[in-house]
Amino acid sequence: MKLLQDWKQTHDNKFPETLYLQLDGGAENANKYVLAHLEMLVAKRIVTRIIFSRLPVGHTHEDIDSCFAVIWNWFKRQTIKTPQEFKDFLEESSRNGKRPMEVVDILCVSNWKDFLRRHIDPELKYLHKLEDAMLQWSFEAVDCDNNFPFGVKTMYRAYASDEVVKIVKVSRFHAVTQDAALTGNDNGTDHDDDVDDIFNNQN
Amino acid sequence: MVIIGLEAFTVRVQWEPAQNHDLGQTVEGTYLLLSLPGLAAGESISLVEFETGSHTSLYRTVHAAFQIYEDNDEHRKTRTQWSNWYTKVCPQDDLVVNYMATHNYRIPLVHYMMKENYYKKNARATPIIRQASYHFNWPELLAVANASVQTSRNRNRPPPITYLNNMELNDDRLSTYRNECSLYYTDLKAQSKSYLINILSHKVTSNGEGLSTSSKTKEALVQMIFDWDGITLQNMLRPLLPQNEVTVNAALEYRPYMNEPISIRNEIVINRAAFECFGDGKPLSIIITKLLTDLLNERDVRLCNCHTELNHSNRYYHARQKSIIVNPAANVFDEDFSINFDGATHLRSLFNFSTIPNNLNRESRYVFRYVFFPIWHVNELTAELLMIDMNNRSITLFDPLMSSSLENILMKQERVNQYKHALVQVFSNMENYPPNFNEWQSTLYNKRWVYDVLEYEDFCNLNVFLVLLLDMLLNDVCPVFHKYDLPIVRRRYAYSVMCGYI
Repeated sequence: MKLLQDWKQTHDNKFPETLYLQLDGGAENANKYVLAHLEMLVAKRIVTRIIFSRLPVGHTHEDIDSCFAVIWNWFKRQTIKTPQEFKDFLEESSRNGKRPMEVVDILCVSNWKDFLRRHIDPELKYLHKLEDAMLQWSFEAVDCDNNFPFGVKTMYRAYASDEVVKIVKVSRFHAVTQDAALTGNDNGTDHDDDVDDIFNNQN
Repeated sequence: MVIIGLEAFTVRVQWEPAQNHDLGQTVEGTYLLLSLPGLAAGESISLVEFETGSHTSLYRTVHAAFQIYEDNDEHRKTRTQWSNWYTKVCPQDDLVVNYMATHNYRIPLVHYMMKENYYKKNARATPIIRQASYHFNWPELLAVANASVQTSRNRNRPPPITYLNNMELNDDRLSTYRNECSLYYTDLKAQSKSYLINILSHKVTSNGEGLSTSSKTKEALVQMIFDWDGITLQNMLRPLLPQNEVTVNAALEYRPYMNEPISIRNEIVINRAAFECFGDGKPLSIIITKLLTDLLNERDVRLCNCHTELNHSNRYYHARQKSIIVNPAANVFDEDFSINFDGATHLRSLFNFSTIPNNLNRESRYVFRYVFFPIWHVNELTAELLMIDMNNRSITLFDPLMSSSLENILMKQERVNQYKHALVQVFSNMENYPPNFNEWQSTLYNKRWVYDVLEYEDFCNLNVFLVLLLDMLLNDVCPVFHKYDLPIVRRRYAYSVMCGYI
């Protein structure tokens, strides 16, 4: 919210049209309240489109982690004795870089959970669990009608990519020969003969 | 040389929920919020309270820093920074209200967004929303609805009452508008109820006798179906039943696989749907596959070790693969004689069959005693229902639209004999069908089936639904509809009505 606010102040008092979010799969990020909040942002027309992406389970390295590596390099030879020193040093070090940083103390936050709870579809659950987890969500402003009463079309997909590669275990009787893999000429009867030949040779 | 082991497949990832009329998804996309959050005047979002002891913990931190950095010239700056941090940043007690009062920490956008109603100001609202605050009579409403809902199938009806209730309009004229809509729907339901009862009572025949061709009646029926809930539907069906109490036999003695509590009504449905286990270790799919192969002779019956299934975790539907189910219909769909084989999934989707074991995989030892096969004649737009009694090795064929009355469901003797002959062959050679799962996998992999491609187009047919319903009613059973099944049932039903199938 603060980033949106800052953007507005620095861009002719206008909010961005599209907001891209990349988050890790922590419970504080991957939950229905965050999704509902994003949908509300579009419903309120703060932005007209939001793409929410998160990483698969077990993948913890996201783009912003590279920034932390830079910060670590800055700090590794420094001794930081107070929170104020941390703030000053970080802001000073990044001042001339591509991404100037700002340290903000956030000790209290709005209770969005309570605020949104009664408005969220109670059937929503398992959105971020196991095989039901959808790694990318899209919230798009559309005309209000019966299908989208608040003017937001929400969609989701299992991966944040147009195509994924699935690795499937293939039994030996139905494996593909190298020639077949190259030529596409897959003759199943030959496989068994090949396998038999292999076994015969081994014996 | 043979490559053995892992093989990579490129699978396209598509956005869900996609448009799928067969699934009842008339447009792509969904929404998560049932109502739009907002704040009344003078109201603000509450804050997350500090944990008890937060202030003490912070104080101890600063105190420890002061002990490390003693009061001398060298550490004076450090001590000052710690002191400032404690007095200016940290809360002085555990009450977040006091902290807010002293620090005035706020994100302007939070309040800005709640106070400024961007929704009303900037949203491209449809004519319905813009004009609903005025009083309309019905023809005007119809015109507005037509103009606004261009892509909707239900353009000839006003917005649902719930939709109006969600609108942030505080106008007396809105109540009048709501009342008119309510009257319209009440009238529709009254018309539609009698129409549906006619259908269910088989006063409507395949020749069209008794079938009203009035588009208004059809529209009424469609609207009523869209407004159904489970209770309404049951209440509508109940008068069609005899007055005798439904008896439940001991069909559900085989319960080891059922983890969920089973209500009486569930037992009835399961009994009448005739899903019963007799665990002899023969996977259903193997037996039925052979049966189908014999039945269809030269026809191409293929296996697939996945099937799409409704995911009820959300309000929307998401197809995903789960268990081993034979689903040959996708490949023979465009032929004259097509078979929808996925009886278990079909029935589970129609009724509350959550107790049916979901995992018909290689570990399963359950075989259904009765299996229903919806058989769909694509060209004729008719359907049969083949019921196989696995215990008695008998089959029954239901043909709803060719029958002249509910009590005399026509048995097509020739086809029955054909099926029986095949069935005898299957059971006489059942020992020859051990589960060979390598063959299962081979079919899948050789055909390069992509899971998401399997759709519901061969899935659920209205005629099958009707004959199931009639069969249950004949036997004094009132089906129980699961709340998640209703969208499919009603939309399939409405779709068929609008397409002129019934």
